[in-house]
Amino acid sequence: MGVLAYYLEDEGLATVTVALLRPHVEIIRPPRALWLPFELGRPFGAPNDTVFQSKVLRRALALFERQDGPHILEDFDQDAPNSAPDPDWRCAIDTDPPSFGMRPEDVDPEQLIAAAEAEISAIEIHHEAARRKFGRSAVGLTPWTLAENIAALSGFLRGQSKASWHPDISNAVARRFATDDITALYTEAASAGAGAPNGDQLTLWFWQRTAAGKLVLAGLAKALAGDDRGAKIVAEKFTLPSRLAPKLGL
Amino acid sequence: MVRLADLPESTQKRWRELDCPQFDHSPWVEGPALSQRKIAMVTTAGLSIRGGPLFQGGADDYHKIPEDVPDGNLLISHVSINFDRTGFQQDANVVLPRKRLREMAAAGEIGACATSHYSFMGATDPLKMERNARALAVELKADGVDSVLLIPV
Repeated sequence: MGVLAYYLEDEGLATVTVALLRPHVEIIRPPRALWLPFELGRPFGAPNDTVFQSKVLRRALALFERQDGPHILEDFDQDAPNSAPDPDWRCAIDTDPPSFGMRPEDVDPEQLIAAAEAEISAIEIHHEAARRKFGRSAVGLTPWTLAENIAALSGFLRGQSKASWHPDISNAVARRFATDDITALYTEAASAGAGAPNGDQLTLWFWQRTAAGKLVLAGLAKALAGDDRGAKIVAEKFTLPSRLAPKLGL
Repeated sequence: MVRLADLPESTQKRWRELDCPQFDHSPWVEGPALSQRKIAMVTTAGLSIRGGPLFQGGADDYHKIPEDVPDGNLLISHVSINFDRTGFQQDANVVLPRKRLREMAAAGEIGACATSHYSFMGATDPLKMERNARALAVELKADGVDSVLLIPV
């Protein structure tokens, strides 16, 4: 962000940068910066907490009034509310994924695909509840339904790649977007019920407790063992959050 | 809270070793009081509009997000999976606080919101974004924007 601030300020626009990684702004030194001690992915701290979001925004925009440049770096000294795990949260969706090892030969693809397909209707019911609760959904990178996104991953496990919907998007990248949509749909569905799970709780539930999560992991293992370079890159770098891999025993 | 020390060692190493550029001069633009400023927001969250183009690896362009696009049509197509997305799923304002900025404009705390906000994808080397960033500055000034809030993800 600091680099973009430099280009825009150099073009005559005043900038304020909010930063989540303090060491980077210490080096780049944009004109005005506010470091926020929040989780990556949540620069305004907490979803649906309008008071806290406004507090962060006001504090950032106040830096426009400062005249003691050319380099200002301030710290926001309050943690984001509700960022800790909710110890009482249990996902209301009943899932019972089959258990496999991470080697491709450990997986029974048809059993796993059948389990993922069997989850779809329950997940969709809870997802609709989440859509009503939050008034939105972040699912929709692919033009496919949940069943079609699952089919894209199932096809890969069966050695029958589902064709991408767009000529500029490779089949491997299409599967990545399908994975992002599946993950979003499941974690939205899981957040429809009671409790206040944090991001890691929702995400770990997807990877540990659902057949769809296991389906993605099985595809990841197959891609890593195969010779399709594009699929390998997507599997290595753009599928499983690195901070969660140790918690999944990977 | 996620500080660098809270992240896995491999992630810490990657962030620490990231080559951050330094510049040989320090631009500094002054402006009117906050209550007179027209403000745009630029995020690197890799935001796309539902049905529109998606970011792919190495993208150095930006997506325009007109003010009348509802939050329900904002998606994240960022290539990185190493940041939380569940907050955005529940409330887009945790990434791009358009409603909060509109509230400040309505209360007279800022002059006005820009006609559009913008998104790059932060996984790309920002030095490769220079041409598009400078082109964006022209677009922002044509909208009467004088101040920009830059937001990471």
